[in-house]
Amino acid sequence: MALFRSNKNIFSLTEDLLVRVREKLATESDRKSFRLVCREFHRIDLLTRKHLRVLRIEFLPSLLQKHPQLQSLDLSACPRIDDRVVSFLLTRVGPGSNSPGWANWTRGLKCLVLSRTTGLRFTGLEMLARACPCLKSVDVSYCCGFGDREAAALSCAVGLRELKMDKCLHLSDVGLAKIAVGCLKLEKLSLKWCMDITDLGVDLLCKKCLDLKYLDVSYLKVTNESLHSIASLLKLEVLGLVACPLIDDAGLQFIGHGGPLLRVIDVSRCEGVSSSGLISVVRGHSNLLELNAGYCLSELSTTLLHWIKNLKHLEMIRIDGARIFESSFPVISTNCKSLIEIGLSKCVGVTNMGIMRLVSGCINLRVLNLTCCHSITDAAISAIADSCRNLVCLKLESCHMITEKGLCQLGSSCLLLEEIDLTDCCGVNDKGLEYLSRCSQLLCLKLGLCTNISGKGLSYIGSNCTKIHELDLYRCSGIGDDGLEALSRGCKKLAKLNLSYCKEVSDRGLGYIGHLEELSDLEMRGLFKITGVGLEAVAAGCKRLADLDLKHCDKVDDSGYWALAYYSRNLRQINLSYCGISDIALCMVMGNLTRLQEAKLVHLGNVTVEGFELALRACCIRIKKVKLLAPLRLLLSSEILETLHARGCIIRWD
Amino acid sequence: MSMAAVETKKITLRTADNHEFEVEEAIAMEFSTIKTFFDENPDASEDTIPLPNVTSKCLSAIIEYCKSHLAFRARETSSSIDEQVRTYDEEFVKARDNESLKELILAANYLNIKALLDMLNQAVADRIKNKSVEYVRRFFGLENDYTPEEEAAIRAENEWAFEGVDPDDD
Repeated sequence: MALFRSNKNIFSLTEDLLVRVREKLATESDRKSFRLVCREFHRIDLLTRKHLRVLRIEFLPSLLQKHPQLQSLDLSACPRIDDRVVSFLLTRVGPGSNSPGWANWTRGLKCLVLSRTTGLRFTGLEMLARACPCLKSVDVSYCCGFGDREAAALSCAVGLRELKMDKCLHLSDVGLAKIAVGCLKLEKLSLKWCMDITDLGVDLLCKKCLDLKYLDVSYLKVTNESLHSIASLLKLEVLGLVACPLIDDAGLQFIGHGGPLLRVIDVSRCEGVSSSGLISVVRGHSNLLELNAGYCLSELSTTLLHWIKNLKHLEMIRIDGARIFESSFPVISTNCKSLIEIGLSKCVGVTNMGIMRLVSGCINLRVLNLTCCHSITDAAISAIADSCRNLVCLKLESCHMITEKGLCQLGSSCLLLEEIDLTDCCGVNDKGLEYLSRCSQLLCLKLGLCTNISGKGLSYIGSNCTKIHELDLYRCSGIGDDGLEALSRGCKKLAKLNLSYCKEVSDRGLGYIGHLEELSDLEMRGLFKITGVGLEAVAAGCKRLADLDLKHCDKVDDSGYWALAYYSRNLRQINLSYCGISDIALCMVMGNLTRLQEAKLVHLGNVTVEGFELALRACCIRIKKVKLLAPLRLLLSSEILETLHARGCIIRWD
Repeated sequence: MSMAAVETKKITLRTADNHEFEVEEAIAMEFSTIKTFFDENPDASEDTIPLPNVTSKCLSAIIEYCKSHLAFRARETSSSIDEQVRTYDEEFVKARDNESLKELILAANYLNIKALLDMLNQAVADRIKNKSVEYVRRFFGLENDYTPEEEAAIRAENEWAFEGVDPDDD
């Protein structure tokens, strides 16, 4: 029997056909299997892979060298990105050792995500901006140290269409002006929390960047003058004004008369905004698609409702926190039939009758938020289940009167349901979970504070809801090790799990958790029975673990932490507050885990000052955020504090 | 009054294994390769077109597919028609083994039938999804030609180096 010498046979698909098959692979695990098949497939993967999110800096140069066709590069998860690294990547990475000055991977690059790369400065940014001629989208959000010089560097990318600078705390009007003048084609700009921006900056922006379609100035202290400038943007479609303290109805009047293409507006939490401001906006934009007026209206007045009636294309409305009259529901139901999402979180006056009227007309609803609508009972849930067969997301936090009867209806009719929040719904029991498990498309299930559920209920979820990836069991005191066994057998895709204060969980339960290979986010505060054995099982089994919260797990001994330091190479964030970890174990954890970027280390009773010093030195080149007890500020060496500061690390002193 | 006999024009295709197929012009025009040929040589319509890269088994399946899809398209678009098209496509690929699926892809590629090719590529992707690397190798009839070091390096990359980003994850 002849062995295949080459990998060509008569049924070999040609390269371009293989490329097309590869492009149809939807999940990352499939793509990673694909590139392991043989050299040819690896080559095809390199050709087709257009987006990379690099996790470790040691792989970065070779990855960039192998992917010259890259369109988008995400370095937000990669530790230790700084100007020196950028310089190296731009000058030394190219085909062969005789590579010319500029690297090839920058040629086609369109999108660069540098969010949280706090080690980068304007020199590195400018090098990148100049090296990538096709750059269209840049995200530098949460680089809190960035300011005007970084903005000037970014303005060198003249083709820029999209820019996110949320939380670049030192950005002022000067920097914004550089961007406005340099990037005239800008279409999308986000400046949330850039607190130094004033009306002057916004005005210049609106005069220069006439193609702006999306603008987010949430949380800024801009005044009505800015709204006057923004109203002149003829192409604006989306406007974000969340919690802008200085704007009010007079400013919204400008918006009402301008911004002809406006489709989406968010004025939630704006204290100065009331019904009359919203009326101006709604009156001027009958094609509005999305309106978010959460926590700014005191009530949904009849006049405002009268104008909302005309919004025939309205898809989303949120009026969280407002008082709503029962007569409003039929009006919305009859007139706004295209509504897909309704937010009534913490609204006063939401009754069963109201909801039944509402859903009778709004049958296309996919998202309904009834958080804290305490009067809602099973009758309303029945009506929702009956009318809204396309329901995808239902939020019922604190709806205490919901019982298994309501869940039964959901389980029979809303089979597309993906997300349901039943936090604090004390009426939910095991029977209810049995009915709910019929919604086999469930992805996200929140059962925090549901004290009446036990392992039996979880076993139904485990058998039927195999797609689930997020489960919240915060303070579900009835959940123990048996429930976790059922979960680990059936819910193999579980990525995010909260077991905080499920006090019955012991090492045996954590052993089952270790079988959840996709688990990346685990919160397990206050589990007083678990020891190092349990933690070791989790660390060894859950290879993808990125976020771990062990606050108050004081019985965990060092063997658990050693296992964590050895196995959990993907750990990015850890909370060890009130844990019994020792000096050496802390040093191992902080030193060995090269992806660790955020750590909460308060009230570590067994760690000395020297222990903290060593641990911080071990990770100072890559740690980005650390929480420490205030007295340590005076006890740690000034060297380590300066090094951390220079790398852009944020220390929160508790 | 004489009525001109309206005959649906037929095109003759000869496959690799020397079978001749007579197909209606409308169906033959679904094959972009043939359509282009006729656009450039309008008077060649009487000749038999040789298809050296397509077997008769493949061609008959492809003709069936194009016939059915033409019929679907002639009807008004609606969600129930879409449902029927989906069911038809599923049935079309379901019974075929991996070899014939690949053969069909090569034929559809050669004949340049975009919609069919797309559907078949998706079918192959669906067959290899969630499967082991070894399964994918067997499916395509490939051997592992990595050295142990190379394979270890690629496994390390898969595990630690990067995550893919789905372009719609914005």
